[in-house]
Amino acid sequence: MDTRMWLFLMTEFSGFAMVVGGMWLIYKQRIYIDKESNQPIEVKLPGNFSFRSNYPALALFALGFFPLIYPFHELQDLPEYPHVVTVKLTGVPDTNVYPALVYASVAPSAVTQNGDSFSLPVPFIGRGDEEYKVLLIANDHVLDSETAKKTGDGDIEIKFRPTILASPEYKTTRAPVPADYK
Amino acid sequence: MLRRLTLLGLILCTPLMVVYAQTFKAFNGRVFDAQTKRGVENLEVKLRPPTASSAPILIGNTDQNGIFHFSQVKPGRYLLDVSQGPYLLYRAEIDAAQTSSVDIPIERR
Repeated sequence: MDTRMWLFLMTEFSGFAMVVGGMWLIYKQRIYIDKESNQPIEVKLPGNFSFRSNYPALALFALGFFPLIYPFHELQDLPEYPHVVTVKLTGVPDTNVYPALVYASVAPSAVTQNGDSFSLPVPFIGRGDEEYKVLLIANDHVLDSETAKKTGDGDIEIKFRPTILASPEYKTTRAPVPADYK
Repeated sequence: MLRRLTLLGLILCTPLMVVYAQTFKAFNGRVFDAQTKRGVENLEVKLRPPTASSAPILIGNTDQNGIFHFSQVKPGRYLLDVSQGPYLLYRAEIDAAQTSSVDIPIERR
């Protein structure tokens, strides 16, 4: 079972115990008002909510609703949590050109004409202080590379340097790569 | 005795040489201007095998006469790409088992 599910279950159980325990204490009247101060209990909740009660057990009962309801609220959004599994990519390149770099890409975004923009959703895992190396590639040639580091919650704009290549002397082709070779 | 052993060794090695000859073969070609028929030099030529194949990717360049040459090509299908930097000029599928040479005309813009 997922670690988060255990946490949700533990929170759920804590809330359940507080609510049921509070009800039991109220029913049994095991908790009384402080005889010395003779003041009712005041409970403050987040968001400037507060209530007063003569029964501390009522506070226990009311507070128990938060851990009881919270897991249900969070479980509705559970699919939004990425289930991250780290898998190492390993191998021994067989080439006579060194040094060589190995990159792993999940989703290339094609830019087919001048003025087209690209948009690539990429995950930042953990503290989010990793850097992405973003490559601009044409026909297996790296035209430019930039780094992308997470600075906030917004999008990261990649500013590639202008790449001006001399026009080819000969006509180019856009013949697609057959499926067997992809 | 020594002559017999040498002869036996040669006989035993012959199938290996035949297998090696079948494993690799030469493949060459010429890239030329379709109008002037002159070879185009300094183009990148890439032979890419299908993903399922264990054959290596072969990369070479055309010489001043537009000729490229690969000496050790495993017979089989390849995707032949001719590029000038990031520009792809020619792409075709070839069968290195059936053909050992190819002429590639390219047209000026």
